[in-house]
Amino acid sequence: MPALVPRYRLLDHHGRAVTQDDFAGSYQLVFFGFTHCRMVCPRELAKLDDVLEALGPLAERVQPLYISVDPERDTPEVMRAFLERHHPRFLGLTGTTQDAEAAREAFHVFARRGVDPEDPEGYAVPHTTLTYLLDANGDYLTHFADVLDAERITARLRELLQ
Amino acid sequence: MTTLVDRPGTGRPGAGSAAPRLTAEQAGHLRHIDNLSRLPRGDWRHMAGPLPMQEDFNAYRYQLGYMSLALALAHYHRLPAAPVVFHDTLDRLIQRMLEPDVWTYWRDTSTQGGFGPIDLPQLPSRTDPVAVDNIMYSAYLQMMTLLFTMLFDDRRYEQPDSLTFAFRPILFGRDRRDSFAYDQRTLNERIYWNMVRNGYLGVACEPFCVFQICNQIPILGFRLHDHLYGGQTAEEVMEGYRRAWSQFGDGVGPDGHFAKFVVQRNDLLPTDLLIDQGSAWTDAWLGMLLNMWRPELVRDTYRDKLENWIDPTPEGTIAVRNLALPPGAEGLAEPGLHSEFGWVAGWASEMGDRATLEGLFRHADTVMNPQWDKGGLYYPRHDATYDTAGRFASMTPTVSNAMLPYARLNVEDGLRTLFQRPWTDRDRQRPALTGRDDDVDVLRAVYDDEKDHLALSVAPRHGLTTVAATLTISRVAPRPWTLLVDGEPVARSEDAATDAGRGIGVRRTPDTLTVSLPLEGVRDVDVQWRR
Repeated sequence: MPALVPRYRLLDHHGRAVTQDDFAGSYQLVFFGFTHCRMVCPRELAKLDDVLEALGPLAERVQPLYISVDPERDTPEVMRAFLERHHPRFLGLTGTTQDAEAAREAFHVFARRGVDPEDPEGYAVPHTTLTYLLDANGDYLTHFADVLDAERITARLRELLQ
Repeated sequence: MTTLVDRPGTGRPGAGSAAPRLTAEQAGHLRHIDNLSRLPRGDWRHMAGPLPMQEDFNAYRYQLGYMSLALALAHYHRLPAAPVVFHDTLDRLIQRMLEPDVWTYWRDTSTQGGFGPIDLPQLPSRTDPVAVDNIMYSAYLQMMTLLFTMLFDDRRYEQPDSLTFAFRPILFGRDRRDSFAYDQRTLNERIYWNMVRNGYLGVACEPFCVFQICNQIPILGFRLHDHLYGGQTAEEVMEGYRRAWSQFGDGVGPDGHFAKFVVQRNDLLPTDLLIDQGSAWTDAWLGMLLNMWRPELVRDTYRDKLENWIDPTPEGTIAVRNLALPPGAEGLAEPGLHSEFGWVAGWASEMGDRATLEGLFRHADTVMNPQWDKGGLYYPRHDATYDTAGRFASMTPTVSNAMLPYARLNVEDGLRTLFQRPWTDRDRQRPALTGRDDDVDVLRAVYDDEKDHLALSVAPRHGLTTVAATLTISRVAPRPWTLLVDGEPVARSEDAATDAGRGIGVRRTPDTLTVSLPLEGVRDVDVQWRR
């Protein structure tokens, strides 16, 4: 059995129920985070925007997904507003606390709510910063650590997508 | 107090033919580890400690893990041209690690339910010893197999199911018979994802308890895996680890000593609990390992804190203090059970502190009753902390079997060098000793690239006066060579004779040279290639 079986059942930022199977035929580029994140998510999402831009037409084969680790605050509406404004290539996914936790478990994602005095609601959710790539069947293909820059991720994606 | 010494080894098989011979004690440690590796299944002679259930630091997994590291360091730094001394021994230690006696404790330990004064949730029992938590076992197995592949380019633990945990009780649980199959790559992958899902703080030993010490071992494993198969996992994990521990004082307590572990929050514990009081075993054990990738911090700590933990005696030896027991073990064992003496020796060896190391060994050899058995050196178990004369005399199996060998065979920054510069094909493809009789100790085995010279020294094992030795040297072609015994030329590649006189026999194949000779003490056997 593979070490990572990326299964999820969530709502997209239009409020539609989705699973990994709904994107069959596309490679899924998955990043976990939360819209109140001030440092990691803006940096990593911007990097992935650059990657997708650099891929050119190949990017059409990729469905970028941003899965919330803070479903209490990240409703579909909140995610849609955030992504359409800042990262329009991405589709946001969120859900119930249980469904979001199940998705995190499936991807082995770390996320723990902790106190953050600088946050308006007083908390943040530090989380794993890996970017996952699922193949056209929705199976885990590889992942990219945040130490990799956009150029290296782009080069690796080109190899995998072509 | 601390005197740093020269580096006796460079970690490069091709450098320095003037390497010193192993001492009798160093060879005796290697022989003892080899003897233990050969015991039949279920025979844990010399290895059983005073506490049952594999719960303390004398558990077989720790002994096997640090015996393996001692072998790796000795091969890498001391006898790089003698794979024959190490290959089969390390393989047997890996096989011992797979014995149920070593890992079935996990069915009980995985249920947690409380540790010392800390209440913790009860969990369902798990049998698979590497799937979740239990880094105190899984990482040592990971490291052992990856060391084996790196040192010998032997790929047997890449094979599917080569690391299988078979659970087959006879008198109970027929429905619980099970088997969990891994290989070194799937094991590495499993540990990696456990590290990720815990935010790189580390993987727990017993549930909820994330120790710094045991999480250095997977970092070495990831480094070796990256080296063998590509990737930057170690770099990713080290960066994540530092980030995760930044909320816990960077792993250093307010008193400047290394922090022990974090009890992670759970249903009974609302917030993470950092256990950060200094102790000899944590400073020394962690310092020894952490030198791989945080050498400045480790050297500062060593300089500032070592003297808290050592105890120079009026006789000029060095003992240790701040002796501890696991919580709950009071009345079952005496302080010293934590093997502080061994960890301090290991740390001093990695720091190259010869004065401290010599003081510790002088103490061991004076007070701790060294014994020889079948050519192997060991120190008999001594459960009482002090002897009748009031001297520190605690001797645990981990200290005797693993850590004194480790400390005697390591060199300054020895683990750090191995971590930074694992061997490649070039290192493994030089001329080397690939065959010898079991009764022969190898005291020197170094190939010098610049001089194109292989220097071997061999002797009957301790306790024997005479043996007939047969040595096989591989990768001798294609250059012409001269064989020397005790400095005298006895054969040349172009000669056909098999009798070199003085009882020395020489047989040749296109790529090997087999030398038979009588040994009545130490003899030097050299091969000089001619250009």
